[in-house]
Amino acid sequence: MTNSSYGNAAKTCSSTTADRMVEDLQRKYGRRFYRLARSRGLSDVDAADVVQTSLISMRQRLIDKGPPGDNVTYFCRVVLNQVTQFYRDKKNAKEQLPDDPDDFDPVEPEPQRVVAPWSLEKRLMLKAANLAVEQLSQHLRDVYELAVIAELSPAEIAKLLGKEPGTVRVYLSMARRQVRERADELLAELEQQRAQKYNGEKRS
Amino acid sequence: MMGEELEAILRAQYDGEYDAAREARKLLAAAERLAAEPAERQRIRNIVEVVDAEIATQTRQRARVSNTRRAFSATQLARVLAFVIQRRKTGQVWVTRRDALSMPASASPEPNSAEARPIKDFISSAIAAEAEYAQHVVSSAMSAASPRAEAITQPSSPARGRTSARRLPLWHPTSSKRATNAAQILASLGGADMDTLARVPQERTRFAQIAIVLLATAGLSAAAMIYALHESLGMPSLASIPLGLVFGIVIFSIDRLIIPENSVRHLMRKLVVIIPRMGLAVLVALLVSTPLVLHTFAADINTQLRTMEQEDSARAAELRTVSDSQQEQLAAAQTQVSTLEKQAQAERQKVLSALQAWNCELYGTVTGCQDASGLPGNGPLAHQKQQIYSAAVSGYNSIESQLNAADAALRAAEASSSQAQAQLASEVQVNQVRLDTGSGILNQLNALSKISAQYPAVDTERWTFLILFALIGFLPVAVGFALTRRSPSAYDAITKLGEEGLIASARAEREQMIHATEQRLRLRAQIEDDMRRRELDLGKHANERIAADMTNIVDTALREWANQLWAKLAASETGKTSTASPSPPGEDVDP
Repeated sequence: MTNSSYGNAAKTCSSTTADRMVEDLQRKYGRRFYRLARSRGLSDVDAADVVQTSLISMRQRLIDKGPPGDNVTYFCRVVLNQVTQFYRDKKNAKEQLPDDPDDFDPVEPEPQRVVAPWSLEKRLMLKAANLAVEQLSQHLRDVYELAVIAELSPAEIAKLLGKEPGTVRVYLSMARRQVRERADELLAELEQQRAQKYNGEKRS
Repeated sequence: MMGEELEAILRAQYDGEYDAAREARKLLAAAERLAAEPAERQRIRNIVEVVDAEIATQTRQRARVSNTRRAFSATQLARVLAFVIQRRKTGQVWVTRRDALSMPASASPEPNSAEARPIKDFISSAIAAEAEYAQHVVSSAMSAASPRAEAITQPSSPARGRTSARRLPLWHPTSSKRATNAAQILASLGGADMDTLARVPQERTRFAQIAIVLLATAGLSAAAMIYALHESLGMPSLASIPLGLVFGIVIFSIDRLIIPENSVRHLMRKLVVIIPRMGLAVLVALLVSTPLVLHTFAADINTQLRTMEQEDSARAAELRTVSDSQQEQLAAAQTQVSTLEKQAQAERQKVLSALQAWNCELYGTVTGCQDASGLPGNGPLAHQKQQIYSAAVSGYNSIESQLNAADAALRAAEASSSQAQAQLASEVQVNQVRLDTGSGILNQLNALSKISAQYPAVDTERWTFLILFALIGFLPVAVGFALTRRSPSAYDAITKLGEEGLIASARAEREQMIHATEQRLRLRAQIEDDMRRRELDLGKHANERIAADMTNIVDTALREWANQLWAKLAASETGKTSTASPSPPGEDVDP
């Protein structure tokens, strides 16, 4: 969904048009932003809720104020805002503990990471890749996650982050190279640890 | 791990249970619910407001940054232009960016102020008249590539025509251009990559300084080699100069190689390069310092050489005197020995004669005996003859002992004489060699050693020269270490990126080639599969056609056979019953 498909005019949309546009957004980008929300630590259900709320907000925006400059970046911004809001609410909820502790369950369910029954090799690769991404500096990590997890183009990321597209391309290239190299190193280390552990168990 | 594979894995871990169709249905239901719940609707509107506010803030910030940049550029431009006008009024034509930017802020009006307008108008007219000149000034002044004072190119001919009558300032673009070219050449000699350097001109100075260090070391080495070849080996200048220059170029190349190698972090790799270079530096220092020290103490060395010659001559004369006296002693001993030998011979003859006379008297033999009595027996005559014999023997023994002593003295005289002769000969030879070589390096070094034994300051001077030249030789190594210690510059970063880019492009080319090969192989396999499938289809089709044809043939043959059979049957039946007729062939016939 780009500017050209809906135009830049700031006139409001009817609810039918808004529904159609939001449906289109959900079909094309719903899964991507669901992934993005999950990559920020949200559970399966929470991520789906965040995407749902963001789509509803997008619909309301279309009805109230018409289409924004770029629907995708706007939608992404809403999703990120909702993720931040989710954590803010969570923090507030922790701070406002009820008087009676029986009424409150302080152990919140951790975000579930649903992983397909992958092979050991693939699981090690995933672990190495996640560690490598975590070790990126923040600006590179933002760009990398938006490009890889949400599959946004450099131009869209540039709009979202308020940077030049060339800068985003450079960041992305650097981040990809760093992740690749670091993941290779970490994978080698993990395999070595695994082999040592296996040998130790075998001996015992 | 390939990048695409890695990213696919990263994405796949978050795919989870997202069902797009179910989410779409939920979305519709939520939208319908929204109309019925004002509170929820307000919450959603708040979200929209917050996001819109975020976007507006970001847009404002970007606009502010952009405006600041624009304003700054405009202010800079106004300053430069005002300064150009000021310079032109005072007769100074050329201006540098540093000059313009160091101008006090009060001298530069705001870009959009009323003061700035006449300046702009003036400059517009100036640009119209001197388009090329103004373009050079503004572009050079606004160039942000170099913080240094960039040379403004020489104006076009009309401007130059007007300025030719004016007094040129001390700083002149032509000399700066030459200096820039020289700096470029030096930077190139210092090992800079010119393409990268064009992007980071700040680094030009660093590479020029490295080049100067390298040239100094190489020049020193070349001079040392020329001097050594000419002075020590006696090579003519025409031969020694090219050889020395070649040696200098070799040293320059080694040093140029060492500097980037030195920036390597591995100690062993560093040492492998540095240790031989340090050995070479020490050798070159020895080579250079020795002639210089000799040259420094030339007067003292010459004096010492003369003193040494005189000492040698005196010693040779002394040896010659000793040798002569030994010769005289030897001659005297020889004379004495020959005299004693003659006396001993005579005494021996006397002993033999006395013995014979005694025997004659004892045995009474007459034959061969003179003055004998002829009577045998040990009588008085025999006793007398015995006494004579004993006296002759004692005389002979005395002479014999004297002869032995004289002989021993002669041998001793001979030995000492030959020793003296040998000493004299060797001294004469040494003196002759010294006289032949005159003031050679060895003689000079020998003299210098003797001087330094007397005066320890000479040794200090020698070591000072050696250490000085060794340190000059170590300079490239020291520069390399200094480069290792500093933080990576923009040049280093660009070079590293370029190298990585080259590696990446080479890798990409290789992967592309592999991919293309795989594609070709896959295509070939597909073509072969297609060919096989088509052959199969063709075979099936042919088989079908053949089967159909065969069916027709068999049908026709059977029909013919049936007709014939029916004809025969008809013929046989005609003979029996003329009324009955057979059924037509092919109809209701079941062969």
